[in-house]
Amino acid sequence: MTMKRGQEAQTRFSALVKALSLQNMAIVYVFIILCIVLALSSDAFLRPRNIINIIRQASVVGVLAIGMTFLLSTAQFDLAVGAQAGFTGVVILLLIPVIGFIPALLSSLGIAVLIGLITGAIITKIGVNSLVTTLGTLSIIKGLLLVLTDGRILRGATPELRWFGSGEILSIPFPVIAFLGLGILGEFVLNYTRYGRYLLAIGGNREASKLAGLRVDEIIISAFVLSSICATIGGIILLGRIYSASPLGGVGTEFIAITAAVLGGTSIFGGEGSVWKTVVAVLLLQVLGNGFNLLNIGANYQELIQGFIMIGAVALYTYQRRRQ
Amino acid sequence: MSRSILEMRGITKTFPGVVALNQVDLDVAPGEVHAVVGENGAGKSTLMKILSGAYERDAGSIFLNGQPADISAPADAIRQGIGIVYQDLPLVPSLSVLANIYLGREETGRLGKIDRARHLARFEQLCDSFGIYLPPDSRIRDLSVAERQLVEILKVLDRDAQVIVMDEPTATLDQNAKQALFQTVRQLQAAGKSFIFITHFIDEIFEIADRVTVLKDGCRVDTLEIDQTSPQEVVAMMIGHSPREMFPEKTGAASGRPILQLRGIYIDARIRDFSMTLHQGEILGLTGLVGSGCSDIVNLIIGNLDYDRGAVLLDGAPTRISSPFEAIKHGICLLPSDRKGSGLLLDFELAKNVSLSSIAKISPRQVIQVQRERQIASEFIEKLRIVTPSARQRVRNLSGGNQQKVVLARMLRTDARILILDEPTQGIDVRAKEEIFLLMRQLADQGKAILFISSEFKEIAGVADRGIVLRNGAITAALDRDEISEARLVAAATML
Ligand SMILES: Nc1ncnc2c1ncn2[C@@H]1O[C@H](COP(=O)(O)OP(=O)(O)OP(=O)(O)O)[C@@H](O)[C@H]1O
Ligand SMILES: [Mg+2]
Repeated sequence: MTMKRGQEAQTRFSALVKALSLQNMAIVYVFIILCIVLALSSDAFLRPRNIINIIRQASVVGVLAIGMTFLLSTAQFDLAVGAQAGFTGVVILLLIPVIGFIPALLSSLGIAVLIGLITGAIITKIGVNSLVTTLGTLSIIKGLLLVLTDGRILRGATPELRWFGSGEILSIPFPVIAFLGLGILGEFVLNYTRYGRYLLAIGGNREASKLAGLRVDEIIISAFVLSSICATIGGIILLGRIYSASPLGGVGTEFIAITAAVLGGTSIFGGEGSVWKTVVAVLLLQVLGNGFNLLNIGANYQELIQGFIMIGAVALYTYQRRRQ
Repeated sequence: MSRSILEMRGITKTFPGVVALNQVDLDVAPGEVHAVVGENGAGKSTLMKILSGAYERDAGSIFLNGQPADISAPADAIRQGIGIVYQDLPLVPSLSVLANIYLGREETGRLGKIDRARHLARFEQLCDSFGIYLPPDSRIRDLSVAERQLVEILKVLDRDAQVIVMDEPTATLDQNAKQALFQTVRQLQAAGKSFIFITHFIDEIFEIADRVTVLKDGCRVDTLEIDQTSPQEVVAMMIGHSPREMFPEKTGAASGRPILQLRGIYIDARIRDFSMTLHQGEILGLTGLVGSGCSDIVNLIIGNLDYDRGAVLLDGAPTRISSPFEAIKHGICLLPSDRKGSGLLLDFELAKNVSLSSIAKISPRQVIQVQRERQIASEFIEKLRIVTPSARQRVRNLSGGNQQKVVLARMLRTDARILILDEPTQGIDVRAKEEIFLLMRQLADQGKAILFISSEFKEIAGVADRGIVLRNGAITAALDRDEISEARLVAAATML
């Protein structure tokens, strides 16, 4: 059955309508509306400084959420990434005096790869599910943090380190570049390349993907490695911004990262994922907090509102999908 | 015919870009087995989903015992005596037969404790009155497909169904199980139950049905009394012209080079001393009843299952294939039998499903060329006559047979030289079957080696150059071209 030209144009049009539908874009519309409301009610909101600030503040969670989107697309997740970000800071601060700055940085990335490999291998090769496995790794990393820091806050960030928190390229701070850059790269990889297609296919039907000849286990492990690297990048930015590493640093951020990915429409059952909408969702959560400050509502309400937004958005996605 | 128990009048249903049903009528008499046939995408399942309340109809009405029936949700249909035996058998695998039958309708005693004794009594009465036997405490996961089907049937009988709908119940059954099912249907029919029976096996309707309704492109062509028609007439109505010969001429080169050899394979106690040789340019048939071991052989070849003893030779050299990925690297490609579970990405569009195994070819530099991907899919849509509004349709929304064609298209896109087709015609209509057989022959003529696994003895006999029959894990017959026949395959598989 060949398609006639007109029909093809029509298909394309209906595809566009679908792409812009509430079901697909709810989070983006909410974000735009929120920005308009804030812009109207506060002059400060639209100032470049404020915007850059928002993105910078969102960057740690953002980088974690990008990694999480990859994992969720393959129907996996990792509860340890927040703690891992904090762990990165501790490792780097402990290593700098011993082996110097660059080697410390590289070591932290090496450790990230290792953690990703181990987590992924336990989940795929042994078959323990990702909830149990990463609850375990979360506990181990939290434990390591306490052991290594002896419960104290570590200081001693060097100027080079601070650059990762506030250094600028063309007057744009590094965290902003890292966050948005990874966002663009991630979106491209996930939805336009072979590798991304494989991740989504595995999330869609693991057995079918295996029989179609995909190296399912290896690909899932690689997603854990990617997410682990993202966690470490997040950790480096965090360290650069607060100059110190505490035994509780980063812990809990994984939930905001998961919230953001899910808000962005990535399914926790895999097979569907959008990095750019994850980025929008991260910004939405940040703007919400920022807005509360500007409007003097007090940050105490943030988590409360966040919860409602999350359930509301997911209910909307699910409801629309079921009606189809 | 006496008064109808069920009448559907002028049923119309459209989906975006598809008219699935157009003014369709169907009536069913008490105690009748009414077959519904038609090509893939003709609208059979959609009609049944409307009857069961799973889909809302755009127009038309339904009467039960002459009274207008209001069916707008599955609960309405169940309450009014319509029982659906779903093809994918939605049972809870970890629960017992009894627990599944009474799921959601448990009778409870003091403190809300489930009254097992009452369930058991009801279950036994039900079994006795219809002459069915099932172990009440077995877990569903330990039962065969045929037994699960019986559980579904008991479930609808317990809810006092008068009209029982079965959508392709025989697609996943072997010959023995099929006969057992027909036996059950006849017993229930004698007890006054009516059946709507959907199948792609035309000979089955002449065995079991009283009347047949033919659908084509969403319209009802006609309803015929079985004893006043013939298989040829029914098929001609389905496809719009008189049928051709179903099976292509056998041209398999007896001289082909051996490509894949299995020698003296043992797997646990399941497979004993299995050997076979697959030559270039031939179609080798492998058949047996469910549980005979055919699926173990398939899994072994594609590296999904380890063997204890024996050897696998590729081009004469011993080779260890330890994963489907390696199998594909060696040019071995499988078409899995369970298309929903292990074949398709149901929520992905058609084009992405087709390209899954060959995506490296469409995207040499990592970046996927989406236009090219869709164009390739469109070519297959035309070639295999897949009924779909576009290459971007989600596979979930295709009819069963068209889904099967999508998996087939994926396999054809690879460069594999050894093709393993595990039940490739499951759920596929007669015309598409004929096309697939022809395609298989063409591929063999081009030098591919094809291993064709099927529980349809007739298809093996009609298509394969040679045939191997398994029974309880051991070869009971290896038939050459001049020996292979349906009768000999049946005999070897069942040892009658
Ligand atoms: N949920 C849906 N959304 C969109 N189109 C649908 C949906 N369900 C069915 N269709 C379309 O309606 C038509 C009829 O489908 P149906 O499943 O009733 O066919 P069928 O006769 O049962 O075919 P088969 O023999 O392959 O099972 C097909 O073209 C199918 O693609
Ligand atoms: Mg169907």
